[in-house]
Amino acid sequence: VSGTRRAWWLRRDLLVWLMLPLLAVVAATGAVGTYTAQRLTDKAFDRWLLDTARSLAAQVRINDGQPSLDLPAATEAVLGYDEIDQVYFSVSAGSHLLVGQQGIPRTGTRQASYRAGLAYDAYYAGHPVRVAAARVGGASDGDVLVLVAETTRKRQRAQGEVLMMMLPVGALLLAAAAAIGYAVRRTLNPLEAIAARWNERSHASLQPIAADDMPRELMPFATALNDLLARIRAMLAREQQFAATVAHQLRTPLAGLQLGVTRAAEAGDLHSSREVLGELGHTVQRTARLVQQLLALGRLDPEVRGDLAFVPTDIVALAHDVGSTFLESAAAKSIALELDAPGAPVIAPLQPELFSEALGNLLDNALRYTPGGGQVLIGFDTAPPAIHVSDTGPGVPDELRDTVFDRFVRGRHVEGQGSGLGLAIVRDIVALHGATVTLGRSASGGACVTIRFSG
Amino acid sequence: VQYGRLSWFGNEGRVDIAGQPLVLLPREFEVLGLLVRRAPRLVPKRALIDALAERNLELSDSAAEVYVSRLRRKLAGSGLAIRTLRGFGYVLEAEALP
Repeated sequence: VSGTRRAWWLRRDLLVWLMLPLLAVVAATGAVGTYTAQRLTDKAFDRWLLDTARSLAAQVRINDGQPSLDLPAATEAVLGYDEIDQVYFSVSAGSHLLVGQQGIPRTGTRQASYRAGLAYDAYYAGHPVRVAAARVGGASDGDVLVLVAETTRKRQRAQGEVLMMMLPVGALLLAAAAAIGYAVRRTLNPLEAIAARWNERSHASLQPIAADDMPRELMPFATALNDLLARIRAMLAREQQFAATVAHQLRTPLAGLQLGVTRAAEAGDLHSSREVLGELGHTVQRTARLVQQLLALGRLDPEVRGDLAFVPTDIVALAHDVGSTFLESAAAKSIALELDAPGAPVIAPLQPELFSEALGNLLDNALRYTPGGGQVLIGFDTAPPAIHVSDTGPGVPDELRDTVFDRFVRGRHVEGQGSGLGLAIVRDIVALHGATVTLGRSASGGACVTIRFSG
Repeated sequence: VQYGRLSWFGNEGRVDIAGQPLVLLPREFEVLGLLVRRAPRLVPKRALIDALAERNLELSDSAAEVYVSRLRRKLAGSGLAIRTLRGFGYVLEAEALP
């Protein structure tokens, strides 16, 4: 099968490649059979005709080189008698006819030669005839030629019968063709049934297709299709996850922008509104960078992930910057947001935008679940570098500690509009840094989240 | 610059609370100026130290805390208070008036 072939029908191919050889075999058998049968009938009929010619020749007497034939009328009648065919004969010496009919042809087509003489096809008295020719030697002016001609009805009848013998073969051919057609259809019908079943599935459904009731030859297709479906499902899930992540992480900067815009509008003089607008510009820039980093995070492609630059960063300074953006909301809830800075910087390799997002999510969570008058404390370890965010909220029950980092899993005492995404994003970002994030209990019984870098 | 009952006159080096002058040392004056101008928002400790260094007034990390606590004492009863946000900095807040 050529590789550049266009769409084709297996059914037609099967039929053609099964029927053609069958037809050839049957045609060859028929042709050989017919030919052989004709040869046999020809030979048998020729013998009889030659026997007649020879028995006639045996009556020829040669006296002193003069041939003579004394044929009783009864004999002549016997010779000429045939129920079906017309029989003619002639005995002649040279051009002199001794007895019989004038003008029986001396040559013809399809000549066959036997020990007793020749046989050939010719026309006599307007009919096709088979002629047997026998010679008697000894006459002075050449051989005596005995010709017996017989019309060919019997032969044609015999050949017709031979052809009739071929009819059952034809019937067999038809039966075989029907069987092949049925077999091909029966074999290929399940394909259509399977295709119809696949098509019946909802177009939106990406569930794998059942492959157990399928011919083994089709398994590779079903498997390939299921693999493809699985890849599409994973891709869709990733895209949805990405969209959710982006939406989640954009809420904070958007709220900041909203606040800043309001503040700029309410500013008494141009100078202070310029100051606020400057801050807004920074927020916009930061947000744009954030979107890019989220894009990088959203791609599971490791090559793209390699594009993320990890730079040694002081996580205390970074936490200070991130924490500062939460001071206002902390004050609004009368929560003391504090940062327990060690004397020296704590350096860890990280991607500043993404890590800021992770930390921001932790602070957002802590502030969300801590009641008014409480405290949220950012603390650090130096070796290995680690950052803690602990709060005086209700804490997380032990049984939820493992699942709370999964997407859309939220704690039990959740009020407000948490999306269940924040911690999942933290986990993703932390994993990207090769760090670990754990949830524990703070001194006050609240939650304490620790991000620990390796080494 | 004015915040609450406090008026800070940078050019004259003078601070009034409800019209009454407040006596401050130069470093206290500058620290209070920063707090007033940013009020009621956070002034990071780092920003305090940097701003004073710009005016050739050296201030060490612990000295900043000392000046803030002195200021806090001098502002007592003025309706204004300096709140410390540990690890972040200071905020000048207007207290609810009695």
